[in-house]
Amino acid sequence: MSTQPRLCREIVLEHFGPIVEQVAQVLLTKGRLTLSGIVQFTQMPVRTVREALVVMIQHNICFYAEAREGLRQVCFYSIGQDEILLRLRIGRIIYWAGEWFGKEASTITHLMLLNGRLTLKDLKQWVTDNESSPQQKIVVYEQKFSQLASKRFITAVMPEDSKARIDRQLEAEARAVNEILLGPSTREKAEIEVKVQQQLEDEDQSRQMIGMKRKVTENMDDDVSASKRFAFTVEMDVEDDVFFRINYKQFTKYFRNEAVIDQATDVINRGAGQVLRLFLEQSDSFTGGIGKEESQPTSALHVASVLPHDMLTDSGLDSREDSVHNDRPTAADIVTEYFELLRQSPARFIKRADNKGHNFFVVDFKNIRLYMMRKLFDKLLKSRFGNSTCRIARILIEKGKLEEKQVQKMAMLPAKDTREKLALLCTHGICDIQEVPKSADRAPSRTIFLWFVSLDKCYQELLIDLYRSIANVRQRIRVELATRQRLLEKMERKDVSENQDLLSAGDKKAIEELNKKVERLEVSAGRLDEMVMVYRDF
Amino acid sequence: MSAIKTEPDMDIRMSNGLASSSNIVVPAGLSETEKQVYITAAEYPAGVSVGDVTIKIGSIPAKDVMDGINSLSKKSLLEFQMMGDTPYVRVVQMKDYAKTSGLDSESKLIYSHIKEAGNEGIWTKDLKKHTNLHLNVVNRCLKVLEQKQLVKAVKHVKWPTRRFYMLYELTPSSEVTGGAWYTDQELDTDFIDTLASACYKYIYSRSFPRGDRNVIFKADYGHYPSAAEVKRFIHEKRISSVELSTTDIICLLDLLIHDDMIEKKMPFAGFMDDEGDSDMENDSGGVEWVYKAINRNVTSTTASDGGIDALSEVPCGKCPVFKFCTADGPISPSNCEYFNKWLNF
Repeated sequence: MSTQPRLCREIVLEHFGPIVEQVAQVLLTKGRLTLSGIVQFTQMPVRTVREALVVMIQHNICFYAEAREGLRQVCFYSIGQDEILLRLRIGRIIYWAGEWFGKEASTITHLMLLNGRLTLKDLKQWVTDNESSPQQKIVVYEQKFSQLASKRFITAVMPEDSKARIDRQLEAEARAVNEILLGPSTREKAEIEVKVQQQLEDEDQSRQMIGMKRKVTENMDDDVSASKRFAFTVEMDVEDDVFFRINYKQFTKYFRNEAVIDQATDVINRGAGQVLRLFLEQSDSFTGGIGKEESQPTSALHVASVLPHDMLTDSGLDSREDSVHNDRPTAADIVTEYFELLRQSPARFIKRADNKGHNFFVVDFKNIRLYMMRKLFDKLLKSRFGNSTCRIARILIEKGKLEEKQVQKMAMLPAKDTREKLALLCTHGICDIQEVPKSADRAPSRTIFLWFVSLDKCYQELLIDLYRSIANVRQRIRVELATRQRLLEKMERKDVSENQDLLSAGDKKAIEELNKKVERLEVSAGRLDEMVMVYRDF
Repeated sequence: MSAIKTEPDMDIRMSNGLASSSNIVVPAGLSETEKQVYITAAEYPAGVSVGDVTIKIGSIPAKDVMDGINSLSKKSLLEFQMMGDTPYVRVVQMKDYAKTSGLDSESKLIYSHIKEAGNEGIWTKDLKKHTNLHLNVVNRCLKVLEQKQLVKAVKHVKWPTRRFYMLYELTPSSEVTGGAWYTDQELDTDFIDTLASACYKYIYSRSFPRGDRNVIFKADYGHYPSAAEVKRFIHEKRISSVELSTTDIICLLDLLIHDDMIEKKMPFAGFMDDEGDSDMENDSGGVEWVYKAINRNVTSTTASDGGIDALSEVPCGKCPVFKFCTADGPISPSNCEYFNKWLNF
C-alpha cells in the first residue's frame, strides 16, 4: 500500500474509529464507488456504510458526485486525501486559535472539529449547557465566532463543499465547452482549462468573504452603512443558522507567515523578524491567497509608521560607526536598514516591487519557500550522511552536472572518499549519473559520467518519506495505547477518575510512562507535519 | 619558424658581452679542429646552428668542421638540438659533463630525456617509448642513474601507481605533488580541516559585532574580510607551515561556502542598486569578494547549530530498513526495535 493512503487510513482510524476506517480504506484503494460498491467490498451492512459516509461528508473528507447512467441517477462517493492529511494539523489549529483569539476561540475550533460543522445556534446551546455563567459567556463566544469568521479562519459551508474539486472543474469545463458551437480546438481546450482553474480559485476566494458580508447586511438591514464602515473591525454578526467549518487554507497561511518570520529571526535577528511581521501585517499578506508568490507592495515609510517604540532604542543594529553623527536613528532609518538586510540576506526575503516606485518592496514568498526547502534538505543530508557527503550534494546542486574529478577537487576530498560518498548518495536516490558517450559504440571506457542532483525529485521523495514516517509514528501511538488498553479502561471508570488513589503505584508509573511515550510521539508527528507544510503547502 | 625567430635574438645576446673566449675552459685532449669548434660553440650558451659554426670558422674546411662536431658530440662535449628544421649544437656545461661522462650511451640518452621533462617528471613507459629502448635496458639505466644520484623517482598525485623520474636536484612541480594540500602525495584532510576552521573562526569574529548576540552589523557594513585578508591572517598567525597562495585560500573559502558556513558577498560600495549587478559580473575578475559567516550560533566548523530536523529525530529518519517497513509486515512500526530504544531512552 502506498504511503499517502496508508497515512490517510491511519488518520481516519484515529479520528473516526474502525468502521469508518474500513469504508475509507475501500474508497482509498478502489477510488470512486457507488454505495452498493462499497457495501460489496466492505461486507458491511448498508446502514453502517451509509452512516460512515455521512460522518465523512459531515467532516468534509468525503465527496459525492451524481452521474446519469442510462435512465438511472447514480451517486458516486470519493474520498479527499488532501483534506484528510490536513486533519493532522488539528492540534496546531486549536492551539493557535487560542493564542491569537483567546481561550473561547480555541473551544470554538475544537467544537467545530468535533462536529465537522457548526452553527452559531449550536454553539450558544453548547455554552448554555456547559458554561457556568452562560449569559455573559454567550456574548463572548458570539464575538469570537464572528471574529474568526471575519478573518476567515472559519467559513460558511456551501453545497460545493461536498463535491470534489475535480468534479467542479469538469462541470465548469463542460459548461464552457457547451458555449462553443463547434467542438473546441486543442488551443481552446487549454484556454478553457486555465480559465476554469482561475474561476474556481476566485470562487474559493470570494465566496468566503462575500458570503460573510451578504449575511451581515441581510442581518442588519437598517445598519448597512455602519457595518460597511466597520468592515474590518470585529463588529460583524454571523447568522444563527448558517453552518461554519474550519478554513484550513487560512490557518496554513498564518502558519506560513509565522514560519517566514521565524526564519528571518533565525537568519538575521529578532529586529528583522519584527520588521518582517509588521511588513506582512501592513501589506495585508495575512488576508491574501496562499498560492500567491509575493505579497502586496509596501514601502519602508508605511512600516516605519507602525514601528513600536522600543525598537527605536533597541534596534539590534550596530551603531558604533554612527557615533560620529551622534543622533538617534529615526524609525524610517531603522526600517530602511532592515529592509536592506532582508533584501541582501541569502534567503532574499523581500525584493523591489516591479511596477511600483523605488521604495516599494514585496515579500518574495517563492524565494523564501525555496530557501526553506533547501535549508531543511541540507540539514537532513548533514545529519543523515555527515558533513562531507552533504558538501558533495551541495556542490552538485549548485554547479549542476559534474564529473567525479571535479567534485573531488571542489570538495577537497580524497578520490576514494569522493567515490564512496557519491555512491552512497546514489543508492539513496539523491544523486544520479548521466553518461555522455564519446564514441558511437558507447564503451564505458570512452564515456564521460556526470553526477547531478535533481532537487524537485528529492523533495518529492522526501515528502513521501515524511508521510511514511508520520504514518509509522501514528501507528506506534496506536500500538502503545492498545498495549495499555486495560489500564486506560480502568482510568476511564467513574470511581477511578474521581479518586486517583484507587490506582496502584505500578499502574501510576505505567500511566506516567505511557504519557511520556505518547507525548514524545505526538510531538514528533507534529514536527514532521511542520516539515510537510514546508514542502507541500507553503 | 621558431628557428628564424630565435636567430636574431641570439645574435643580440652574443654582442651583449657573451662569454668571451678567455673564460672558456677547453677540455684537454682535443685536436686542433675540435678545439676550434668547441670554442666557437661555447660562445653561444643558448646554442648555434651547425651552418653558422662552419661559417664562423672560415679557416677550416666545412667537412673537417663537421667531423669535429661529430667527434665532440661522441665525447658528449657537444649536444644536438633541433630547432624547426635546423640542427643546433650547444656546448655541454662542464658540471653536466662531469656527471654524464662516465655513463654509457643508453644511460646518457635516458638522462637527457629525463632532463628534458623538467620538474614535471617523465613516466617510465613514456621514457621507453621515446627512447625506443627495451624495458630491461631502461630499468637498468634508471637504476644506475639513481645510484649515482643523478635522477630520482617521484610519485604523481594523479597516478599514484606510476613511477615518474626527474633530475635529482629538482623540486617536483605542484602539478606532480598536488599543491599545498598534499602531503606525501596524499590529500591532507586534517590539514585542510584545521585551516578551514581557522579561516572560519577569523571570518566569524569579523562578521558580528561583539557583545549582545542580538545586535548585527548594518547592511552597508564594509569590513567583512576578503580572501587576501584571510591569507594575511593565516600567514601572521603561522597556522600553516606551507606557503599558501591566495588561490589556495580561495579554494579553502569555497569549501566553507559549500559547507554552508560562510557566504560570499559583493563588497559594499556606496548605495549600489540591482542595476549595478550586471556590470559587476563583467569585470568580476577585478572585484574582490568579501566573506561573512552565515549563522551566529555556529561558532566553529565542528559545532552544529543545535537544532535537529524532525525527520532525523524520529528513528525512521535514519532507519536502515525504512524501505522494507510496512504497516503489517515482519518489520513494522508496531514491533520496531528502534522505536523501542528511542521511546525508552
